[in-house]
Amino acid sequence: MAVTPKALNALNPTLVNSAINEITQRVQEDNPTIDVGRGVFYELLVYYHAVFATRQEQLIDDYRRSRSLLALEQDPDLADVDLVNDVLSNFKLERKLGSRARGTITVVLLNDVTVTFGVNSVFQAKGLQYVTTEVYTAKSEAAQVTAPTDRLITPTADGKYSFTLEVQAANEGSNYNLEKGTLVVPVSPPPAYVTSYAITDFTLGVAAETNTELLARLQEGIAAKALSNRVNMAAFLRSVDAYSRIVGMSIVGYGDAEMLRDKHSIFPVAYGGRVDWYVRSENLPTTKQMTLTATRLAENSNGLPVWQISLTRDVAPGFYEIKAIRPKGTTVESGRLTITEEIRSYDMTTTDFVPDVVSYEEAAYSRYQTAIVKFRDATQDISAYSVGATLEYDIDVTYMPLIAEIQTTVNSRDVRSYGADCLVKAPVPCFTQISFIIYKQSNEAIPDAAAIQLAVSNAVNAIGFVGRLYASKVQDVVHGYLASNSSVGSIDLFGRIRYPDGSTQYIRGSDVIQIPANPAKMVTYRTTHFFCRPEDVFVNVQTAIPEA
Amino acid sequence: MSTVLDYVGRTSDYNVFRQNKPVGVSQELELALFTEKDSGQINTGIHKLMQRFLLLLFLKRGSFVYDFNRGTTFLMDADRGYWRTVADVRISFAAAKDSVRRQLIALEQPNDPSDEIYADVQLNEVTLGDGRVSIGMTLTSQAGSTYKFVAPINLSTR
Repeated sequence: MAVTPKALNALNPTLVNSAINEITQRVQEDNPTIDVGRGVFYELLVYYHAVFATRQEQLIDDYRRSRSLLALEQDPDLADVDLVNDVLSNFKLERKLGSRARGTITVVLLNDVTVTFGVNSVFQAKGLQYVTTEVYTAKSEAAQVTAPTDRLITPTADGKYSFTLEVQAANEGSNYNLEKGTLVVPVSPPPAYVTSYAITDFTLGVAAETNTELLARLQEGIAAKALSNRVNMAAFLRSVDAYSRIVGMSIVGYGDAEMLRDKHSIFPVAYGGRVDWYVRSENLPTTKQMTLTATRLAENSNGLPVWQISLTRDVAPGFYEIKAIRPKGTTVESGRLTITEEIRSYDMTTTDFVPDVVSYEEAAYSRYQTAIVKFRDATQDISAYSVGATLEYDIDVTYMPLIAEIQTTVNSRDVRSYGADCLVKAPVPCFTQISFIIYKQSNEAIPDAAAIQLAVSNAVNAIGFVGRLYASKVQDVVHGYLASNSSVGSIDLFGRIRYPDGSTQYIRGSDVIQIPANPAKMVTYRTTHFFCRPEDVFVNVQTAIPEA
Repeated sequence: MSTVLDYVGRTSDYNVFRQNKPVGVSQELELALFTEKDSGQINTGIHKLMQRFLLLLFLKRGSFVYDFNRGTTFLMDADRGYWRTVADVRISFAAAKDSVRRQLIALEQPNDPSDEIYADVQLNEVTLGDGRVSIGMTLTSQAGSTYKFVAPINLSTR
């Protein structure tokens, strides 16, 4: 059904009464000897006929209006999904389908016993369910690993055993995305089970686009898909299927104070011809684990040897931070090594077209960024590794996906502007933590903290390039989960901005936190985004309000 | 036995509360739109008034979605389990009766004959037991006892 008929008790009363009056009058005129306005004829015939007739009229009216873009924009829920798809297909707009989050988990065992997880084995994380889509059998002998879903149980550095398997969210939706390291626990634990956690970020979970979201893209659907003005550029990027779910973008160009790349001339004026394109491809940065080779340096730190890892521009393009470095094969809970120094740089070497970049600050969070990371390792025997020796380490890096891919797209000759270059960057991050207290009466139920964390996180991550996070937004979201007499207070908003030059600024407030205007360092509301993980929302509940 | 001529100059209603015995004789009403013997009936006069009265009395207030004030709380009291003694039923009826009276007055037309204008209703007997309630009522129109009882007549099927 293109338009869902309204329930019989949800019609417009004025229309129903009009229909009753009209039907009464018409039937009375045709049948003067019948008492139509009251009694059996009225209550059992005229009334219900009027109700059904009104519903039919409203259905026709809704259908007629649902073909109108104006009416759809005023009431996005007016029409069903299929009808809105039909209308917007005239403007070359297609609804984005939903998908389920997927990821890999590590299961840690006490012994190397054979373990099997059947299809649809249920795992839980943060109250959400994930299932296996294959039969996974973990075996201790490499020779027994024959099928693609057989897993080899390997010893961990801390004396336990582990294997990995893939799980998929039970439903579509971005709320199923998980961060690396999150506990993902089987509902029916296997023998010798110790723990299990996500070894990769769970990504790709998105809900199908709603009518409201689809209509919001209408302007982009109509706009020419080309690197021209900001609407055209956004339309172009989202018209590429791989980039269609981009969360937000900001384009800094000629005349913007944050644009530094068009002032490379010896004259202190902006010449234009440069575009910094800040793209937030996902709600939250993704954490990627990789194994890299480190080299032991001659220097020491606190009496421990210092090792060095080089992050080339391709390992995690546009990365934000190195979250952890661990000896290869150790589990997440075994801790991380201390980073002593991080030196960012950039690498523009290519025979192809590249944007004009002259400093690591300009290259920060772009696909041309590189880094050298130094760290000390107390877990290794110093005497076993001389200066220059190499050793593999597991490293966790947070980055915004698709930055390199988008840069490659906009660099191509047939896409790029003939008069400008585009440097694609991840937004400058403001990692946000929020805490508040929910005050409730003793007779009220404890609110669902996990749901509140997720909702607040989603609300903060949905803030575009506006540079302000108000406490009222948090209150607004939290109140949707509270009983009538509960209140929220003591809100603390805390943000950590990592500048492109590597420096850090903290902002804190109880009413609002605001991105500072520091265009000389490329930090303003146009370049910076709030990132808030559900784990960074701290919900405290106090029973404090007296009963009435 | 009434004929079509008795209906001349009157407006009729569809007969759903069937009453076969003569007026003044107590009987249980039969609820039917049509039977094997006829394809429906129409009525007028006091019978029509009786139907109008019963429809309002038994309509739960608020259930007539686009006219929430129509009906009474009589059956709602029954639903709530309020009826435990005969006195409870009488109390409910007393409240409902007044409500019906006001609604019937509001529905009156200027040219209604006196035997279609409500005057009073008396609750004669209430019997509780075996999971059912029997209510005996006497409905009096403004014509009092001076009206001619017009019995329902059958409809012809076309």
